[in-house]
Amino acid sequence: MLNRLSPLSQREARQETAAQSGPSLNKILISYLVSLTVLVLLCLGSLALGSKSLSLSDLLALSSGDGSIADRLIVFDLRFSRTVNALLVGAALGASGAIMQSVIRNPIADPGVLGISAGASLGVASGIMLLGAAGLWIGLLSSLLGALLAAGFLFLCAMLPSFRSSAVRITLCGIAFSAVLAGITQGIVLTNDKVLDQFRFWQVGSLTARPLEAAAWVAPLVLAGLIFSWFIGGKLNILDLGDDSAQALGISVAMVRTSSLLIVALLCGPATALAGPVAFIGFAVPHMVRLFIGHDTKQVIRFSALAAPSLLLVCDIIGRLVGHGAEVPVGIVTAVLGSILLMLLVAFSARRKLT
Amino acid sequence: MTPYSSMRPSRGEIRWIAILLVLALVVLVSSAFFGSYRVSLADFFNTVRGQAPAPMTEFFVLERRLSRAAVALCAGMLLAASGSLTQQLLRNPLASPDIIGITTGASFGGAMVILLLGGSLASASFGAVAGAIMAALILIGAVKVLRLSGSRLILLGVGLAALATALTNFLLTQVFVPSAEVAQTWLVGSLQGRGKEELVWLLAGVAILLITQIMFGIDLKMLQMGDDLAAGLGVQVTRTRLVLLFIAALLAALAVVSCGPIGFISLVAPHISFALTKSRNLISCGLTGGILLAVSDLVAQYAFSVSLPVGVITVVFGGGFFLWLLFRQRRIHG
Repeated sequence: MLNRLSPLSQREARQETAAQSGPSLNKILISYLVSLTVLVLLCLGSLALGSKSLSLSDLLALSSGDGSIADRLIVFDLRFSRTVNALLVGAALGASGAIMQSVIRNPIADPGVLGISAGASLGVASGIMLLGAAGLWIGLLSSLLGALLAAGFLFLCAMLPSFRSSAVRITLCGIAFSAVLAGITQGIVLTNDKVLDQFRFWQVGSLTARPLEAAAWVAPLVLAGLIFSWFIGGKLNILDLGDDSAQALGISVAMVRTSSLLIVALLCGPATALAGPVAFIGFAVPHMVRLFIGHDTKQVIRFSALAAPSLLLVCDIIGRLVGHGAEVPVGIVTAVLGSILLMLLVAFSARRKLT
Repeated sequence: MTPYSSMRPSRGEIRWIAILLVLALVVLVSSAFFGSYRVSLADFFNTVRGQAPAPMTEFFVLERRLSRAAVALCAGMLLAASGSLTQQLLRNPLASPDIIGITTGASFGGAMVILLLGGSLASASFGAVAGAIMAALILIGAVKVLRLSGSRLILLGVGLAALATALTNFLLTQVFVPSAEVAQTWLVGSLQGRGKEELVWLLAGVAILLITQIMFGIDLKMLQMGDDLAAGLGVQVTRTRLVLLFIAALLAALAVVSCGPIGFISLVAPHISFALTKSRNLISCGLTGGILLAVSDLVAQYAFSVSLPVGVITVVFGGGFFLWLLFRQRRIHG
């Protein structure tokens, strides 16, 4: 799970075997099929389950135009939009988490934990503060900018020699950075009534905060980011061999890093603008994916983008069912599950050199 | 007694405590003069002597401003002393109770009692103490059983803090919260509307802090030289460390009950205090923290168009300080 942090020789050995044998084509095809099936089932579940649960036949009736008006309202107006949001946000966070874990060489990297989401939030808040009314595209643009600045800071830190040697230090750095950004955001929000009004509903990540039109704005950006991350996977695989080896193989290391940074910002900024800060999804999913398909970064990125929406949907459904009447925002559910996973990872990776 | 003679508070330490006491008093007094209701110097002294010129003046000076500043001073003292203890005991400059989940554990415990059992401040205190001690026990378990140390221990604590915050958030969604201010108190920390009721608890904490310094001050100094040497000098190492960690949790919990999990004071104050006084005396460290929190609270109240929760100010500046510490240190010991 943490092979990128093991000593260089071991890492290289493992990478070589991964490159030679790799996950076989059949295994990959089956994995794609399984994760797609799970995703479709969960989408249906997300449409059906909640404080007023519907049966599958009810759903079928609705899709053919029958069914009560109340059910129609619940499914098409409320649950459909949050399902779409979950798909977009999940895919964005999953892919960017996997990319960050590879580029920063850190198994604990996550856009929510390390402050990229906080940067996006700060961007949105200052956008509203400076420009007054926040149209959707202003919100998107400022979140993108905020995410980009935060990711830039983080990637620069990761290059420093004292941080490069230690995954834990760069994580602590990101957490502190995230806290500072969140504090500034809160300062802006609380001193401006106008910002407070638009902001307070997504202090914790939620899939119901934004209308469906917002998803329509976010979708092209996230899709573009996903397409780019599809292609950068192979380059990151080579980068995993170490900077020197990658250079020798004709890869421009700086180029790959910079484009990863841009992709991460492109994915996380809009996702945060859509759902607020959802932590730990980008951290947890790549680890789960690695359990099944091994350490091939290219595949980990692709499967994370596919599996993360499933996990987000599960968390969202849990949030709907767990609270008796009062719904629990998805950000809280992911934070509970993710922090437990983080603690387990830190506690039991003792012999695997999580320095 | 020769080895002990150098362990007593030195003249420098006492001088610094005096200086910090005077500074704390200055902050306390000056807090009475901020704000839109103006108080003249003469009015202030008359009010303090019990001859207020108007009931309004008495209300603002004594009920609102002085008691709030006193709460800030005491809470800051407790947080800073707690931070100093955990940093020394876990041998890590970053291991303060707010980073490693003790304050958020306390906040979760307190919130749980208030929200689920509808408790008063007193029962919330027990909940908070229980939460803090639970978090401390988990960390002790991590040290003893899993042999975690250094940055990994901190990261485990960060996970613990995130979990406690998420659970508190969850509790807040499950019950009717009358105002955002209440939620803020349990999540960020705020001194809004704090006064005499909280001061009783905080003063009890300050008393514990003084007793700890008197009883364990020498042991602490010896523990700094390493467990083996301390054991050689007659310190019961394991027991002392355990007792002191519980005291640290208790102090943090008392601070949290009265003003919520105010972040980063407990991280920053011990470092500033050590840089100034060159000693890890709990009293001077506590006074530094108290002054920091009281000044932060004044900034939070009056520097912006709207008064902010003090936690926002401490997070921004304390978080910046944390980053600076990380950058400055080549290696974190452990």
